[in-house]
Amino acid sequence: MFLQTLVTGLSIGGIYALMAVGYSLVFSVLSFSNFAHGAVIMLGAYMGLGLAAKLNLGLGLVLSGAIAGAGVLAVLNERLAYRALRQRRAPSLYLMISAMGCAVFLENMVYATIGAKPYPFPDKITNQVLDIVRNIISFLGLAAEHSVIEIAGITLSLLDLAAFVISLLSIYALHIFIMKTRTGIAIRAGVDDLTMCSLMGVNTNRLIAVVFFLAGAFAGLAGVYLGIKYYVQPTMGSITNKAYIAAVIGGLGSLPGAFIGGLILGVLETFVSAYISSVWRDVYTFTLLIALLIWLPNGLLGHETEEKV
Amino acid sequence: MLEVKDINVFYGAVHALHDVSLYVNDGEIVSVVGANGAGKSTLMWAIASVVPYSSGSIEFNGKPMPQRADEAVKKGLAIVPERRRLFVSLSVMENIIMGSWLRGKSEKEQINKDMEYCFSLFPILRQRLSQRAGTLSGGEQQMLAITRALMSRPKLLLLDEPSLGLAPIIVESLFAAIQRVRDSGVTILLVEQNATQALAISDRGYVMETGRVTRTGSGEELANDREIRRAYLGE
Ligand SMILES: Nc1ncnc2c1ncn2[C@@H]1O[C@H](COP(=O)(O)OP(=O)(O)O)[C@@H](O)[C@H]1O
Ligand SMILES: [Mg+2]
Repeated sequence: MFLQTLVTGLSIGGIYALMAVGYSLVFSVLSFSNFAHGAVIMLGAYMGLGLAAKLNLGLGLVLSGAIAGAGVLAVLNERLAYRALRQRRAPSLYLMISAMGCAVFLENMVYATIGAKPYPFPDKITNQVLDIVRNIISFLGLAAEHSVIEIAGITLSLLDLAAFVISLLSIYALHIFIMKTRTGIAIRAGVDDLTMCSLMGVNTNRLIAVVFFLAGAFAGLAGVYLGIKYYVQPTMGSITNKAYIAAVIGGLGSLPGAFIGGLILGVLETFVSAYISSVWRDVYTFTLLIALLIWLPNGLLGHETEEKV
Repeated sequence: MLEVKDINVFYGAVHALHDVSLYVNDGEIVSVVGANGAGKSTLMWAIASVVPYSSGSIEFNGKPMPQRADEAVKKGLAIVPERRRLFVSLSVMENIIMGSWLRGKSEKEQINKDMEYCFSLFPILRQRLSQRAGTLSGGEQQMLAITRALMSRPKLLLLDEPSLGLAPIIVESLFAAIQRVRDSGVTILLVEQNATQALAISDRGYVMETGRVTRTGSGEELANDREIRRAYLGE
């Protein structure tokens, strides 16, 4: 029971981490919480669904389309709703409020145009994911049932396993990108001091667009996963409240923090559900968040937050 | 090289610069001295297109200075700002990479030569390449800030209080390095509260008081001026 709960918790945490990365990326550079991120995840899911159900495309194209589409959407979001505020040096609170407005706007746009009805992803896509996971598992010399695998008495959904591995790999890839590439160095320089970054000749508008594209791409990936696992519907972005908490636990602005925060939250939640009660799950989770912030105001791996010029 | 004409800068209701004018010729070291709060840093940020000015003009090599900082840098301007503003979480090497941001791959050889040149000015940096910039000593940070600025091969270098918070012996070597940089063909606009030493290495100087330029003259003239000595040199 304990191990089972831990493994389930980690797999849920992997998804929180995937979504938390988007909050952390944007926060690290612009010092505001981009609450439109959940809406971008939701729209990423719709884009994936459209490509799968309407255009009948396979998993690869559905994923790439949703990732690119959500990335572009996030860039547009910044261009239309945040840039003017940034350039007038508006306090970050205003950016956050603008982001909340965008979330409401996008959600209601979907209500008005597509409607509230939840749609599942076509079985074809789900089966494609399961096939890939089963192939990898049998390649590793293990046996899997249709959609679960049992190792040492622990049952694990293949979908969750795939999600965990993909979020681990994609966050690692992002980490490498940010640590090793020229653009990554510029992003970190911008995190330290955006004004000085532009005084190196960096076009900071473009740099910020790259950051939003990356956050959006992760949103697209998360959206497709959520769509496959649950349904695609206008309110699905609300799960990102949890991801936001994960980002705060890890320390807003820190990528490793987002990852660790996601895992901690997933595991904690699952343990509360399993050993206490699922009704109390969120009460405990939010209590923990508040206690943690009182103890460590900058999260586990966050830096001292100071106003940037 | 640089011509600032009658610029005015406001921070909200604070009128930080009143009709400030100055010019810098090719190959000069020009210093701006004045008390804390006189508007020296504001002038530097305005020249670098970071702080907007409401009236007046700034020309760089005979053309209007671009409105955006990254564009101004492309025209050959670099700044070592007050308190250095290094990328503190980046390594020394990464700070140097950021300094050479605008230079393409084809310049790789020249970039390495320029880096060697900076190490000849500041040998200690060579041993610190993988260290986080934020963990350097104050003097080393200033050396890195100058190196970062030089890596873009600027025509005009703005230096804002490079001696701030440094031990006298380090300041001395820093000023020697600044002169070597000028001798290599870089024009320098230097802001200092430390007026004696700044004026000693300057061709010309300006004195600023509460947002206005109140005096100008050769470095020597100003350094020997009785009033200035009383006001800024503690005599
Ligand atoms: N960001 C700012 N917002 C408001 N006032 C400022 C700001 N920066 C500087 N000032 C004001 O402008 C004046 C000039 O400051 P500054 O240019 O930093 O002078 P100096 O560099 O000569 O010490 C001071 O009165 C200072 O308080
Ligand atoms: Mg100053």
